[in-house]
Amino acid sequence: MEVLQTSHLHKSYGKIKAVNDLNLSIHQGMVFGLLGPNGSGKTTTLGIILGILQFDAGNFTWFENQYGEKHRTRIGAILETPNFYPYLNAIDNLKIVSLIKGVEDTNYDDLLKLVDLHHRKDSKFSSYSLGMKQRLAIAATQIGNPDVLIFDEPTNGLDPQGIAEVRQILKRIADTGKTVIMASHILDEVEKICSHVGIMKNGVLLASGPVGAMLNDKLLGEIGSDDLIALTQALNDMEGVTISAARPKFLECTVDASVSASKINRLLAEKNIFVNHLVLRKQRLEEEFLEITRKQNSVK
Amino acid sequence: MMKELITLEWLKFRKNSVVIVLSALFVGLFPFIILTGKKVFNNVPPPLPSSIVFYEFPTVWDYQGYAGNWLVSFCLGFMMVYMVTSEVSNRTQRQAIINGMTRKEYWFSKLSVLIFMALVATAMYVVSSIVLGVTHTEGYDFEIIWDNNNAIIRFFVMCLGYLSFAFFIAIWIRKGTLAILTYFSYIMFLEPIIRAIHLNYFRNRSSLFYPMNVIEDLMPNPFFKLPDVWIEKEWGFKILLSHTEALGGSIFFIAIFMSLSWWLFMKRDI
Repeated sequence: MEVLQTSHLHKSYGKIKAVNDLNLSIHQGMVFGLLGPNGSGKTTTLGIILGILQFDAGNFTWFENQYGEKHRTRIGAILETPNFYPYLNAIDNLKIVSLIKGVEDTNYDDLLKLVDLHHRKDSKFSSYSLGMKQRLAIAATQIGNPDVLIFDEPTNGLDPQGIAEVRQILKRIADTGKTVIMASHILDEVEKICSHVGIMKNGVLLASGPVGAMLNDKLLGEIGSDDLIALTQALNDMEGVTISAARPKFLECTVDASVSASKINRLLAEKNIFVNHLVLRKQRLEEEFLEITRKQNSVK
Repeated sequence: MMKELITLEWLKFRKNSVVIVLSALFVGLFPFIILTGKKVFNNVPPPLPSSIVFYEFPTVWDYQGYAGNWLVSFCLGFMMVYMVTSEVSNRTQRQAIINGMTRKEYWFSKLSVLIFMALVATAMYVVSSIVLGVTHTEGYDFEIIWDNNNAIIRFFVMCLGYLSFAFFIAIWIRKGTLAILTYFSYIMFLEPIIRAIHLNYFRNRSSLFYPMNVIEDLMPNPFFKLPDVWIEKEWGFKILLSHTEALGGSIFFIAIFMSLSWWLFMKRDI
C-alpha cells in the first residue's frame, strides 16, 4: 500500500520557496530518510503532510485516502521539539495523547519502560532533561500502535549518550517493520537506520530511492607512495581508476568495482612504484549526498 | 463529542496553576462580592433608600449581574485567552493536530470550554442571586423572584460575548502576554476612548453600538439607570441600550468573533 503520496507540492514564505514541486511516494514498510542540510525544506514538508502548515499548490494523500480526515490518528509523529504540557507528569501527558487518538487501553507503564522513563513517570515534564523529553515524545508516538512513525531530527540537541539511546530506540522501531519517515541532516544516522532516502536541498527533491541504489558501484580509494608524481602518472594510465583529489601523502581515486586492491598493488609494483598506503572502501551516503548537492549547485 | 472535548480540556488544565487561581477567584468572589456593599455603602446616596436594593428581589438580578459583568470579563476572559495562547507557546496546539485532531475538532474543543464556562457562570449567577434575594427580601413570592426573568438569558449571552471576544483575540494574536494586554486594553481603554471621540463628533446613539459596550449593556451598571433619564432629556437619547438592542447586538458581535476566529484558525499555519 502507498502510505504517503505527495504530488507537485509547493510552499513559499514570501520569495523563498520552502518546498518546490515535491513528489514523494512512500510505501508500507519503508524506513524513509529525508535528508538535507538545514533549511532544505524537510521540516516544512513534514509540517505540511502533518496538517499544521498550509501549502500553496499540489496535494498529498495518506493511506490512499482510506481514513479520511482522521488519518493522523494512525500516525505517531514528533516535529522539531517534544511538545507536552510542562506542568503535567508523563502519564497525564500520555493520557491526553491517548484521548486525542481515541485509544482506550494504553499501557502507560509499558510505554514508559520502553523508553526507560518509568522511574520518572510522576515527575513534571518541565523537570525532564532534553533527552528524557525526546524519549517521552517517542513513547507518545507509540500510542495506538500507529501504522506510520515520523521523526524530525530526532537526535538534535542531545548529548552523545542521548543520541546513542534515541538511535537505539529508533533502530528497534524500524526493525518492527513499521513505516518510518525520518528527517535528518545527519547522514550517518540515515545511512544506519533507513532503507530508502530522499535528498532535499532548497525545497527541491534532488534524488530518491533505496539507500543501496543511491550509492553507485564505484569504490573510493586512497593510494599513497613515496613518489607521488610517479604514482599519479601510473594511476592516470591504469584502467578503471580515476584520480579525484591529491592529498599531501596520498591520492584520492574512484575505482571500478572490478578493480581489486591486489590488482592495483601488482600493477604499480610492476612499474617499480611501491605503495605505503592503500585503502579501498564502498562509497558512503555522505559522498553521494555531497556529489548530488554539488551537481545542483553547478546547474544553478 | 462535546463531552469528549470537555474531558480533553479538563485533562489539559485541571492541574494548571493559572486556571486554578482564576477559577478560585471567580468562584470565591462572585457569590459574595456585592455583600461588600453592606460596608462600603452604609450611607447610600439618594435617591436609593438603602443598600438593601443590592440584595433584594427583583433588583438583586441587576446588581449581582453587574458584579458578574466585571468578574466574567476579568477572570473568565483572562482564562479564555490563557487557555488558547498557552497551548500556542507550549506548542501543544500543533501537537494536538499532529496527534490526530482535525482543526475543526480543536476549534470546537475551545468552543465547548467557552460554552461550559458561560453555563457555569450563569448557573452561579442564578443560584447566588436567588440565595441573596431569598435571604434579604421580606415577603417574596415567585412573581417577585422572576420579575427580572430575562436577566438569566442576558447574563449568559454576556458571558458568551466576553469569552468569544477573548477567544478571537487569543486566536488572532497567539502570543499570551500581548493577547491579554490587547484584550484588557481594548475593553478598558481603547473602546471607551474611541466611543468618547465618536460621541463628541456625532452626538447620537451610533456611539453606543461598539462591541464591548453592547455586551456590557446586557448587564449594565444599575447606578446609570437614574441619570439616564436626565441624559435623555438633555441629549435626546439614552446612553444605555435596551435589553433587546443589547441582546441583538451582542449576538451579532458573538457571530462576528466566532466567524473570525474560525476563519483565522482554519487558514493559518499552526
